Amino acid sequence: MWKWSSDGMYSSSSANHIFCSSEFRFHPSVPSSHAHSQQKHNHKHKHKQVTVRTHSFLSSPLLSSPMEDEIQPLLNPTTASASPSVATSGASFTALLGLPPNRAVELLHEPTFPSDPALVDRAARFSVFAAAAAASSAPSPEVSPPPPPPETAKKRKDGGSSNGKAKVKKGKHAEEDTDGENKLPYVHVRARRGQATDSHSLAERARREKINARMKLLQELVPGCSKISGTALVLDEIINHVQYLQRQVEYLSMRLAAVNPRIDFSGLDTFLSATTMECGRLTIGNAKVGTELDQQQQQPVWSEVGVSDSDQMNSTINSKRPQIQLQQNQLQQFWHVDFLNTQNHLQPSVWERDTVMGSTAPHVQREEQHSLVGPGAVPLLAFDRVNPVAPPIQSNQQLKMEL
Amino acid sequence: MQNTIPSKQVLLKTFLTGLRRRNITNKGMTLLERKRAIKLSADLAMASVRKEAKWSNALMADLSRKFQRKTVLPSKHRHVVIKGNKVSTHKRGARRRCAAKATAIAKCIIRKREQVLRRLVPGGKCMDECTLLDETLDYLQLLKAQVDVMRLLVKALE
Repeated sequence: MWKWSSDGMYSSSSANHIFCSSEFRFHPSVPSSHAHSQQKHNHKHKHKQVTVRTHSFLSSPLLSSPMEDEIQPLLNPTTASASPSVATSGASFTALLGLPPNRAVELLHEPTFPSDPALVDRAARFSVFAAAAAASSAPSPEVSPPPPPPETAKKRKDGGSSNGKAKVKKGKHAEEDTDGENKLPYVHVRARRGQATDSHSLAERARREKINARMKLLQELVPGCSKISGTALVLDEIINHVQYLQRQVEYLSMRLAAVNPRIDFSGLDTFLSATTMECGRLTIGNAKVGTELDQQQQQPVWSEVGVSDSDQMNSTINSKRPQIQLQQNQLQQFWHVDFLNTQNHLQPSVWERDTVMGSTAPHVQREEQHSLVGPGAVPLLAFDRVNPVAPPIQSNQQLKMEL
Repeated sequence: MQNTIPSKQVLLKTFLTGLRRRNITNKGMTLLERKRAIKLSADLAMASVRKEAKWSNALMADLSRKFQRKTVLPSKHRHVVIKGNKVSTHKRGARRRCAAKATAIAKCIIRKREQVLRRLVPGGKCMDECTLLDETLDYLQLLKAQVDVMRLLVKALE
């Protein structure tokens, strides 16, 4: 059973929020048992009328005008066009009552675009777009409020009667809008108490709720926005943030361009890409190296230095970096410091580093052209599994310091 | 919902691949050219991570158009300044005459902001409100990731 709480939110005993649909299509597969279940819930004759309606509706998809007469005294008599919707809503409500597990399928199918599932989940808790994210995570077509369907909103305009029962009843009728549908990309909007229920306003409301949900997601994404209330200010913050990020990209690209002549960026690229490409173990096959080299004019020389690393590396990557004159010992010391300072995942490779440095120190010193990326690559590449990005960058940081 | 939070590794890798392709270390390039090339690579990397996004496609189309022309036009985004406040106050005055309702004024302001956002997000001109917010979400995520990647790189190289 569900209860209609005073604030307009309703919760049902079975977990997720159910939102009635303002527009829906009668699903022929709704069994008549739903109508029977509906009967259990209907204590009043009016509800029986609902049941009757559902029965009739089950038999005939289109609501005939006699139904309309029944509906009229119950609900605020508004437009005749809304009446078909009531019957269908009745059917859907029975479906809703009868099959709580099916509720998930009735949920709003949202376009799957909000990319962050965490944010989407949070949004789901917020508003109309409930566990559709959890329930049906299949990418669904863009949800659009359907054109005012023939069986649209029920008339629910009630202004004043605050009778609890009336409220409940009306709430129930509101619930009747719920569709027993799965898989139809319809926007399910709850028609709350005191709100217009004609098709246009319902569609608008659906749209508004969609937009509000997304605004909430954006609020969470943009730092400092959660305290702000009001769409305009939030939008302001969002715009500021987007501009800020774009300007950051510009600025950082300028900085990278300024940094560039001092380091063999191509070598760095190949090195980093190689590290990211090799999962953990770096054995640079010549073929692979060749493909990478193709794209560059300044071809970094991938030579296999015979770093006899006992464990992981058969070869190291040495790129020809004319600008880099490295003093191996100092760099190794840097790396010692660097690696010690970095996170704990570097620890397993300390021994590697020691062996590598021990082995390569005399060997590398002879060659100016060898970058210290070589020996450094070994421990770095060991981190590949853990964090291929940060350690190589740290080492290159140290490299840079040497220049 | 199906889109994952962009992995920075992937971004970095794509970024660097693009940078390599552009042959940045060629001595002939000036600072500005290099910067443009870097930015181009960054944008491409961003867009390629999220191929199914509308803004991504719009961005790639935009970039390819620029790239083929061999010139990198100054992005219009840079020149967008939030003038919403000024305009909206003016509008507010006008609005006050016709409708003193706060909602109308708020709607006006929101519309202005929305226009600005459309200009910011690539491909935003052709979207409706809902999609615009969706795309902004996604674009923001990727922008953040891209900025982080670039910061890492800068930190590594300096």
